[in-house]
Amino acid sequence: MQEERDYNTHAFFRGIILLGFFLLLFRLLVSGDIFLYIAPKMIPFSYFALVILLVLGVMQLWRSRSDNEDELYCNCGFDHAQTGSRFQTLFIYSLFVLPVLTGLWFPTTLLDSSIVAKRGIQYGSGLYSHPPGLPSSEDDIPFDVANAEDDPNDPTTYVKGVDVLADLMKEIEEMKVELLGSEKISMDDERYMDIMNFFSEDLDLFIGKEIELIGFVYKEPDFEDNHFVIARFGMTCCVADATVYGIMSKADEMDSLKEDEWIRATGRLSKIHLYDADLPFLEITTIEKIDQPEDPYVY
Amino acid sequence: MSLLLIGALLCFFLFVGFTEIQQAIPKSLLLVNTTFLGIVLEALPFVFLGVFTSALIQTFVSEEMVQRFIPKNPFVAIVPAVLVTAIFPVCECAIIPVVRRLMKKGMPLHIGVIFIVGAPILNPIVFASTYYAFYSTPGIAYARMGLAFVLAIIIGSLIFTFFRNQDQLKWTTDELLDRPIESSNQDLNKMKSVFYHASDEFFDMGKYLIIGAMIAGLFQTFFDRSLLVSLSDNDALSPLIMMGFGFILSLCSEADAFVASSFAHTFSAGSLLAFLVYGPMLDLKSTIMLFAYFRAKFVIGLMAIITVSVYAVILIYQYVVL
Repeated sequence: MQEERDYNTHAFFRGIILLGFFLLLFRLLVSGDIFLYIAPKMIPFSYFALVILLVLGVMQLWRSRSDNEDELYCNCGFDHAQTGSRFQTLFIYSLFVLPVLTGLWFPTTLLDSSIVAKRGIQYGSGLYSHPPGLPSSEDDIPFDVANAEDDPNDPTTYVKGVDVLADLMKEIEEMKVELLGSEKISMDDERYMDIMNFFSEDLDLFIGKEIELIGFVYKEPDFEDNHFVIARFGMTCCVADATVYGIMSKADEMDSLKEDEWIRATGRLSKIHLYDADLPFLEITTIEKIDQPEDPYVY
Repeated sequence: MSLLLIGALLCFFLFVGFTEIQQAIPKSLLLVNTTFLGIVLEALPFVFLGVFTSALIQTFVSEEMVQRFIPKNPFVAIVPAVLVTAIFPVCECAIIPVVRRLMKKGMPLHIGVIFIVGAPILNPIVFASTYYAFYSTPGIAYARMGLAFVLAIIIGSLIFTFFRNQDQLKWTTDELLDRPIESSNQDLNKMKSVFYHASDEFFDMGKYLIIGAMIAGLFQTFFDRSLLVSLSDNDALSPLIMMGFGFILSLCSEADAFVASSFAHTFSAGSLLAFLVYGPMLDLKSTIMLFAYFRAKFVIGLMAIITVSVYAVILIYQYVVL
């Protein structure tokens, strides 16, 4: 009897925890704060998890009220509370409660310059960069179907994947041509990553163009006094893989600019030689402080 | 009664703002929390995918079915197993519970290991994201797939050589006594038991995911990556550094190529490949999950075999190809 009541209690707590996760995810999805944790393309999966959490949570509560022994026991490889002391059980459940509580109570926090200092900045972007030791695409490894078929893995899957990628790459090339033809480039969120990639690929082609962008202020200890970076965090799947992108710049009234303050800057693109490389540099003509944008990350 | 209590509790969680508490929390702790929640929230759907697949296998796939599909000769089985992993589009969070379940149904140990190391890398989504991240050097994406393919074969063979087909899973007393699964009301009960299995397995595995995400969150917030850069010059050492880095970060294999590309200026192609191949095969959160399901001795052996094989293959690759 005692054991059975234990199972009831366990199912009850598990139900509560699952519903807690459900509420956390629900609130994040409704408020849009979810975008501060994971990238938009992962959101459909979150809706899937949301439904599962609700169903499982309700089923656990229902199970906890059942007197039917068959429903309580589950022959799938767990000893539930039979192993481990009360203390262990408590510890394990607190582990599950922790993310629910911190998620609901702690204010959502943006990655800031303290993280930039730890992760380092991509001036331009590392995306299309050439690692030392490998030939670039034009030289040696042709991007074609024959090559994909040599791949030892299931060839059809990969050839299809390459087709989709080829379309994507064509779109990107078209965007580049369009940008090169225009006088002023506005780095909006959708094109931010791509434009950064163009700057690191072919910086010289873009020099002299007028650029408008937003970002937060970041300074490194070894920067000259009035130099700073206009930085953004870019996210692929979740905040764990967020990378920092930025363009160097300088301003005369630097004293009034604090780290992590958001600014909108317009200016002419030039380059600066730093860390053994030519990096994009923005010669600012106008600069204004702005509120933190609704979407602080680019994806 | 109890339901009312829950309702009250949940309302409390939802609507009460603890602004004073919030202000007292140091910023760095909040940042750890953000990364921690990010990893948990991102992994959650895939963990559910894994536990549901596992629960479906538990309920609907018989042991005879598993055994019929696997060739009798253990070495003959290796290459088909690697090819099958290429079809499974799952990442490391989802594959471990599925493999454990299949092994309980009689899948040989080394085949299970091939699934664990192969599936997170050898899939179309990971190929596409790697290809995109290293757009101008597609060699990286092909090399990643090729190396993972070769390594899955090597690791599978080594596991069979060292461990044969010993049982390395943790079994519970109930399972050893072979207590029968519920029998009455077949169909209804089967669906219900799928959901119960899934939920119990979620709690069994979730705790390791949470611990792993917590440690990864701490590292992501406090670890200074420029330390890595200062160690990037040595050809023999830098693959090891990047392997360790991949282990600690515990990124999803679909996203790690983008992090790797941010190191493209400082690290050699060989070290980047070491990061891209080792991380998905073995990282902090998957290791903690493995310890939950397999005997500790075996997990340590497996970690050693994976680490040595990856390092050796990368060194050979650097020497021969690059």
